[in-house]
Amino acid sequence: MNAIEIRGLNKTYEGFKLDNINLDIPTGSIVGLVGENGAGKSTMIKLIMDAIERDGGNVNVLGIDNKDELFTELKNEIGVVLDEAYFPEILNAKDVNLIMKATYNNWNQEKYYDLINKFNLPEARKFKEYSRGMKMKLVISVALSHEAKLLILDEATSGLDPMIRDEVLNVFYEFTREDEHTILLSSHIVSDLEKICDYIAFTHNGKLVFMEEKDKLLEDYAIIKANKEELTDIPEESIISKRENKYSYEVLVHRDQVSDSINKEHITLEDIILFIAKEGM
Amino acid sequence: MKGLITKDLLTIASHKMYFIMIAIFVLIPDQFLGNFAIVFAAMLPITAIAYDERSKWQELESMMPYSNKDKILSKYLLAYMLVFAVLVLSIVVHSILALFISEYKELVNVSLMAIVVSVALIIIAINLPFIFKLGVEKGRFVFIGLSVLIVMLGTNLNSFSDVIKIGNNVQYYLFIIAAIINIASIMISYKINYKKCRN
Repeated sequence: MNAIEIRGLNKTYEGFKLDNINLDIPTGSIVGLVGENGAGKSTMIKLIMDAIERDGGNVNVLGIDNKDELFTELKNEIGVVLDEAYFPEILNAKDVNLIMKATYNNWNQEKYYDLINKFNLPEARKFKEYSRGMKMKLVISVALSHEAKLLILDEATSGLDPMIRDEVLNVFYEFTREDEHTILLSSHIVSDLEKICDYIAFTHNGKLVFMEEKDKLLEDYAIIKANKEELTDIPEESIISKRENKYSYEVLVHRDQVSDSINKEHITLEDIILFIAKEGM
Repeated sequence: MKGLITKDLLTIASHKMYFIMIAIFVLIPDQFLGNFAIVFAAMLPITAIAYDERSKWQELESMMPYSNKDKILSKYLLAYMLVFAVLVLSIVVHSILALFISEYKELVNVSLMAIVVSVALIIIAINLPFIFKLGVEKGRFVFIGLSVLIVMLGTNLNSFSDVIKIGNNVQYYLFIIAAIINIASIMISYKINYKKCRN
């Protein structure tokens, strides 16, 4: 079963088109949505949440079409963290508790205050006096306190220092201990995605380039460093992309299509994405 | 919708000065100031909308279990609640004070208050679609224009009292007009907001 199913999704803005997206987010998984700024990640998330009108296609979330009247009610089961906190700056954590209590059917006040304490957030301090890290922790606390089955995180860790990012990623990881809990995590910080994701979906220029298991990606692809002569030993069909340096080439290849006798370098997710993005696929 | 109204009430409540001003307007034995307290209450949702705009609350709101109707209706309901609360406060305070101080007796004028409430409702109805369309910054010009109109009406309140005294049902008609304008206003605001936020 899939937590999110996207079919033929389209959205056009002036100078940008999200083009025929087909994507399944399996229930119980953590899926990283990666792509450069402006690749269409946030637009896709807004379309999943039916926050904006789509031009075409269908989106099913937790078994319900997001155009169905029931979808507003279903949002009780979806926790969303955006790139900013977006709470009126005059409010504090106690106010947020009252607002969310009146908003979500399954608001768990105890859990909320547990998280607030865990993150050392001052309850009475106004939001405008919070640091960015504190603000994001507050919004994450909200997203995790209404018994959501699906978490959608749009650049939720951007701009946070590595210590806080690590702390927050651990909280997300905890969330998926329950089988039916799913996370869609959009980020351009590939190291974060590499750390916790099961699958990686890569968007580029408004298109979904691939959606693969992270481990499979790392197994399937390899980088070969070669000079001009060695380059001819690499089968043409195995080459996905290549970078030309002053005296050598770096070549992204399908590992299984290249002979074991050719030396292959260790590859990271970031390498794969940079190579593919450069190729303009 | 309860969550949205709670948020707006908490936002407005953080400005204690507004409530002090309303208390002063109600306590001063002056008909214009007493009535202005009711009109002032009708304008308080603009403060909440200004905070929403500044924090881009709409981005987060669209991810929460609020329907598009909730987002618009909550602002109108908030305004009605505030107007009603100040109206009740005025009636109670003026009625109690009238027992001891004669100057307050003429302030307890339900017909006149009905007219003022209708004016407040009309202000809400005219103001909010402009605020939704133009934002608080630009929409403020409409608010300023309306304020000038209110002051002009305020200075002629005695003639309104005369109209009521001669048995004219102006307060009822005005209330019905205010109700109709509000229904139209809600529909217009909904369309404006839908077009603005959904693209």
